[in-house]
Amino acid sequence: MDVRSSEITPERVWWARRRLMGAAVGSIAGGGAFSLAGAAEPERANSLEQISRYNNYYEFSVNKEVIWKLAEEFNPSPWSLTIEGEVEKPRTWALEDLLKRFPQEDRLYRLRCVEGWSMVIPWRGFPLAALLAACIPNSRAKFVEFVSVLRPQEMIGQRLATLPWPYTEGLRIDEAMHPLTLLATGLYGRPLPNQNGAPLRLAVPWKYGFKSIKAITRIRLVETPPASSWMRAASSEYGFYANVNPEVAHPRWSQKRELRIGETAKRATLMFNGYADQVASLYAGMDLNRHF
Amino acid sequence: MDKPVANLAWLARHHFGKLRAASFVVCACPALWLLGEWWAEALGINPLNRMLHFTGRWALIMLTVTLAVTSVRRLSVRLSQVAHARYGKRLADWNWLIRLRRQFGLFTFFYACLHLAVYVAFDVGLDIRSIRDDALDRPFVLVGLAAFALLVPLAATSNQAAMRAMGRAWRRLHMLSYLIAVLGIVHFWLQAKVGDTRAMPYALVLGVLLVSRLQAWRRGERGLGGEVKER
Repeated sequence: MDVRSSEITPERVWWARRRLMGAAVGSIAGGGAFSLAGAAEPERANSLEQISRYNNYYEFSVNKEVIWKLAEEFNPSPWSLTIEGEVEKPRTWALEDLLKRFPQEDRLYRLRCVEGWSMVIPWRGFPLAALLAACIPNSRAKFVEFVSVLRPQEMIGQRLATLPWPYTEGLRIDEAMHPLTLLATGLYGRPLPNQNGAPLRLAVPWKYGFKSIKAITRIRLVETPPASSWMRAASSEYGFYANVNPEVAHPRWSQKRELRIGETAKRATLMFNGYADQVASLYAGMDLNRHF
Repeated sequence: MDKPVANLAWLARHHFGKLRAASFVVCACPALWLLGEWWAEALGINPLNRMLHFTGRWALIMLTVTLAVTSVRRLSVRLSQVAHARYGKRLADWNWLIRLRRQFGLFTFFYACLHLAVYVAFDVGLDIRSIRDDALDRPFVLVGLAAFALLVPLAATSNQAAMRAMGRAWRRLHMLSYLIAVLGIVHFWLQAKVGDTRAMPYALVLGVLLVSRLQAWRRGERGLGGEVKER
């Protein structure tokens, strides 16, 4: 893999460049690319330090502040991603081929953790829809199952049965094909740090963070709703949809408010994490109290 | 000379004020530490969580220390009887410990107040409606508020005058401290996510203390709440 110049761009320089580009291409970028869609006022991205030193990644630990250190043991290259199941063209891609084939774009997304904190993260990646379209899903492809990596030697949290490993997640096909659903390969213009899900993770900004599965090795298109690791561990607490919804409380965490990392007091949580304009129609007519 | 073995007892008898002042400083250290972190902006990525967990943990630690006093004294008496040590009696005379217990109890209340203050000021942002929502949405908030409510009368009656005025009722009222400890552990346990076992050591220590008190109660040892008479 070539070393891109962006890999050595410091955060400050990245922002300066972003502002210039934002002025030039902001209008073409449209929904959710450079400006936060649905935001009343521009929101500042969290710093790289905040994003990379405060992570939930049970494969390493349940303690958010030690993950970055434990994740140093993880080796994300070489990497391959397999697309299989109800598709015309099942295929295994090397990460380099994915990066070459699908143009990378920068997107500033909010991330709302089910625990009641949130960040604003400048991801780099490409829409999952582009990848799925390349494999041509058939008519039985109603759901998408994602499977993460299983490497207990490198991920010490996997030696405990905290969750059923490997971590799995699922989306409905229309959620997976939604233009906001991103396969992230980097942040701040650099490849993803290990603790943020290197080398390839999902970013679904209107759902709680745990839906955005990290270190994906396998994507399977299926006909019936797949059970996620969290659903198998505690189905009464975690549902299939896990849309950000201030009206539906989790037993431990009220979802009405959130702490934006970097602030001292909590703020109100927005329906669908502020992306209601783009995604509310996906759930028209559904009882979101039941489908939480 | 029995001074070498009975240093603490000697110190407590002749310089209790100094001992109490030293204990006060030690108990205040965690709060000063947190203040230092706040001042140096070293509270970490999520300062709210750091402040909440730190103050809550120290309230629980101080409560455990308070509850341990009587059990530790019973144990020291038992050990001195078993060992027939020449200075066993002196070693067991930890009256100074019982005289510090009120301070430990009040520090429990102090850290619980800090914990609640951080919650009210930053977590709910002084919004009373949010507290109600929280208490309804999250059982652990309700349990925590209940524990705090029970602490208030204990702190209010911790002075000599109230002890004298209330007589036997005082001891009965202050047995609530065990209920408060149980509520504190439940509060800690319920807020922890899957795989987070940080409440376990506190639960274990409290369990041991509770069992030791129940055993003593069954044997009829209801004394030792106050000072051991010099013989």
